[in-house]
Amino acid sequence: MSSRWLRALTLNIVLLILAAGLSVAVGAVTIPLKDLGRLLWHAVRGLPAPQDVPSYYATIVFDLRLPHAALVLLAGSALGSSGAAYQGVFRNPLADPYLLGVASGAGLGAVVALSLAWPQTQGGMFGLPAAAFLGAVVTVALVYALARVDGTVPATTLILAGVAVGALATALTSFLMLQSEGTLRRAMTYLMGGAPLGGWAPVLAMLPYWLVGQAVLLASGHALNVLQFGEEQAQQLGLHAQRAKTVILAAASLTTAAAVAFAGIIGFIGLVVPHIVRLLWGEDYRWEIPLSLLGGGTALLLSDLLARTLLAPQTLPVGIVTALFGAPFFLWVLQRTKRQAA
Amino acid sequence: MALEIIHLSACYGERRVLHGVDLTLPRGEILALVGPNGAGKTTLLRVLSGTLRPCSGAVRWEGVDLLALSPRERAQLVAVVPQARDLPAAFTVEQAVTLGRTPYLSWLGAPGPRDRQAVERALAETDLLPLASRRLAQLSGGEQQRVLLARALAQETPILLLDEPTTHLDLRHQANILRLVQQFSRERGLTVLMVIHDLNLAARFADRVALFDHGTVLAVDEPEAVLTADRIAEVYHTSVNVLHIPQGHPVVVLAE
Repeated sequence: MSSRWLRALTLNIVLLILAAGLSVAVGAVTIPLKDLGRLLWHAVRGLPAPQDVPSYYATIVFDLRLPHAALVLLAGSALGSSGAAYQGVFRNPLADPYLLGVASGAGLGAVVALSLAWPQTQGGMFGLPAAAFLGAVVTVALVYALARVDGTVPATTLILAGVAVGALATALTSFLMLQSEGTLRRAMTYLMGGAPLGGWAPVLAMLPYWLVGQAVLLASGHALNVLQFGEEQAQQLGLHAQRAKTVILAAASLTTAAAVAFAGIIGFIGLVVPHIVRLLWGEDYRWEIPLSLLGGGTALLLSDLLARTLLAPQTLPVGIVTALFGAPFFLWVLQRTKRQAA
Repeated sequence: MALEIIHLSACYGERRVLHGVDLTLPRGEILALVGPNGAGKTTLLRVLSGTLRPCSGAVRWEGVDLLALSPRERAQLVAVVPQARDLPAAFTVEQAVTLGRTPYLSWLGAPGPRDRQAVERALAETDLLPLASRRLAQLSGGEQQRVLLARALAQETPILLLDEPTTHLDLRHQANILRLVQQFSRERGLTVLMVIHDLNLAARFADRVALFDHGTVLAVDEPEAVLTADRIAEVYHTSVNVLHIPQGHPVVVLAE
């Protein structure tokens, strides 16, 4: 039983490391894996870069590729685990930070904060996810209230409410962006799925929010399992059901907000990854959350790699790549859900 | 008396659905709650299991105020067998039964040897061991109902509440579930309250029957004393004959 899960965990960790290595190595200048390995190994031991590796490799790896890969990895894993958590709380396989409108809400929060003041300092950057979190929480509360029918959340109302609230948030975001000054506007386009911010500053600013959110989600697996029997039975099994749901939704929204604040609004990772995890390894949220976390990182790293290389030297917004794979998957899930309900 | 329900009233918003219900049960008794739809039987179970707060009254188990407990503490005393509907399809039988240990587990939900033992025993006693790794979606309605019974047994509580456990089941599975309940009540001294629509099953398996109507208990006594033709006609607005088989339970049939 649990050795099967440990194998799944190991496999996902290996895949994530491979994807991260590929992401750092491949680009306009492709760095041979041998050189990349030696660069990293020297850096880990605190030694200067080896003499026979071109010096600009080090600049590319440590100043450009590594922070970019770290940001993408953190964002993808955030979307993966929060997607699994949303699906668990709503007991609905179509829930996902993007389809629920939470990502758009977080984006709006971040843009409002940016339009008030563009963060010039690391301290200012720490404020960005907080603003995104506010936007995300307001959105999820609104969507939940709109979608709830007699204590359950049917797929149809959930998606309708999510799309409507998400559209409203996106419209407000676009309006604010068009109103803003030129430099600010360009800086903001990443939120709509453009290239994310560069450098280590956004990674460091995202990390504390990511850690808190992920820690809570990882600890929520058992509660999510109990909640699959509905709120009333969960309560009868000894879970403070309402409180557990609130905590998990808050943590999922915090994790989503951390991702959106610096990587922009990216759809479908949170839908597709938990689904594949369930298909391959069955349903147990104590494992589904960590597996979706790892798988989300891998999926977004690979999507980002495609976005950078498909039309190189042009870089596609990564959201286009995830939607290209994710939207047909969504339709397939919808079809399956429909058949199960019939 | 082990379980005391004292002048309990419950409301949904402004509407009062239970009016000062008084019931006392000794340890190990099976009490059937019967009566027409909307008479307040399920509402009583919801109050006892802590999912609905009463507007007045008290519930005590051996002197302990059940209503003042946290969900976790209450779940160590009261287990509920709901109707098998809308279950998570991909869960295995063992997973579902293990969730009965929730009131004893840490927040990570990792079961210890004591928990595994309780789950194993519950699976064995409900004949579910051969099905332990099957998914809930692959089970029949009767098997799913047995899973929920096993989950409640794994909870190891002195009080067991059942909400129409035999609805949707065929005759064999109805008898099977209720025999198990009766057996556990005798062996483990479980105090059982079960909402049940079939008056004949109530008469056959319960020690006493409480007849509900409009949120009050009209009568509570042994089946022969409660299930009379006159009283059933009055409460259900349907005329019936009650047959008495020598040394058997009263049998309720519709009148011509």
